[in-house]
Amino acid sequence: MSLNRLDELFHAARAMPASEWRDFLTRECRGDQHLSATLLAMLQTEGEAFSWFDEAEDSLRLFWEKALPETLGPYRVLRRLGSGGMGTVYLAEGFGRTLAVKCMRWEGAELLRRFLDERQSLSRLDHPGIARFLDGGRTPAGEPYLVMEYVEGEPLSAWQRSGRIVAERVKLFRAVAEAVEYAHGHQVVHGDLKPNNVLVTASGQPKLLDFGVAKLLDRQEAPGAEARSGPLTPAYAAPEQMAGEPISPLTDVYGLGALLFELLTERRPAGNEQLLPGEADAWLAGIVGRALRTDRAERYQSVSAMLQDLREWEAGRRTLPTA
Amino acid sequence: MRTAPENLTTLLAAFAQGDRSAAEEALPLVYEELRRIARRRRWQWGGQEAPHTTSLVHEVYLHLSAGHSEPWASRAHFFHFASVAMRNVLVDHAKHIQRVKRGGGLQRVELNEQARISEQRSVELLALDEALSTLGAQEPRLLQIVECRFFGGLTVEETAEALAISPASVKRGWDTARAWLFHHLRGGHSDESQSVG
Repeated sequence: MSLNRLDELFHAARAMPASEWRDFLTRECRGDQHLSATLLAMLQTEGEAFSWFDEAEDSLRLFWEKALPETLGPYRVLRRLGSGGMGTVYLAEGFGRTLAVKCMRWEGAELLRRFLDERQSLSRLDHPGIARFLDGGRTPAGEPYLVMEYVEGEPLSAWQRSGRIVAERVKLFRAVAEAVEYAHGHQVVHGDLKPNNVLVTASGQPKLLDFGVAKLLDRQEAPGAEARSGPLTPAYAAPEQMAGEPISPLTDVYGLGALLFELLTERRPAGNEQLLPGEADAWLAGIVGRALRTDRAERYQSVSAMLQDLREWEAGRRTLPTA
Repeated sequence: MRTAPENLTTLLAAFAQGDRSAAEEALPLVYEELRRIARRRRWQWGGQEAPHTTSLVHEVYLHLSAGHSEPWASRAHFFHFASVAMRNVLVDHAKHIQRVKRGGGLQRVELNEQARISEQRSVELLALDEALSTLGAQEPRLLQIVECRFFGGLTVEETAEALAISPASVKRGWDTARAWLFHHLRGGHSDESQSVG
């Protein structure tokens, strides 16, 4: 088969009025019905073909974005999962597993130093309620990235909206608090507890994301405007964090209080707002209130202490009338 | 990539002589360079914008030839060569998306809009690649034109230069190839064993 001939005949026919194509092709193709049929179809759909290719070229350009930058160290980037205040998260694979790679927006020697310091302690965290920290490295542009277990689940913010009873909400919250308690036992503070950092898997297991990341980004050398544009979400950040002070386990106590507040009310706490009458019984409201104290000295002094009060409620010993 | 140009010079020369296997051999070198450049850009752009393929080819060429006082390879040939590399990169990526899908790696993830579009594009791209191979087996010149114009994003003039043919032939061939490929993709018969010439 000669497509040279195809090329010739196609262009010869194109120069003619459409009414003459059939006769021309019948004559030139000398009984080769396949060729004449192909040519006729090509001539008839030419315009369609060109616009199809225009679109194909556009989508090819978009496809490039995903096709080329596909590796980060030993990890192959599959697609972008999302972007947040602190960077972009990609779905990646490496060493036979699917992972989440978080590329941080900020760079600089200080961040890198902290990152290296922190890496060791993060990698020691091994708990079903914590998305595992697996590795870290730097992009070719020098930005640090973190590699974590990829968790399939719905954000707590979505989970809590689907008609859960109070006991169910408290149970899930307890699992979150236990994971934080475990991390504190390993000297790791979360520092950025909020509904979007908790994913609930299909089996109902909550998983905390981004453990220790807030501390990495807790840049004391850059307070003020720049710090506020960072990852902190005002509704969940402890007052001392908003003031630019270093984070501590008590920061997480506050964050847990905010999470519980929202789990019970489905609205974000504003300042050290108390639960409204009718939103929870007095015991639970008391737990939330004590975790959300502005003055650190008045808060629960540990997650364990908070958990103790929570277990009391779960055991049915503290079911007080609605506040 | 310091040592790459020496290697590439030899391989490109062979490629220019019509030895397509030389291109295969040298592809990893260009391939890595394409990735490196695109990756750097992606970080710069936060992944918001897709690089235009033409400028990508240019950038790869400029980078590889930097620091060589003598032209280490013909720019024209390099353009075709890089276009072939791009085709491979894209097809690889499309195959990868299909593998992941089949392998169930993303099975339980609810595919978002973006992922579905990617998946759809990968199917289209693989079909086009296959059709193009069929076309190329019969008419290598049309294949080359499609590689340069479509995958390499080269202009008519750049393609003409790269393939050492006239711009008019490029335009013509590009029209024929598109009409043929479109017809083929729409289920038009393309029985290779059947003589139609």
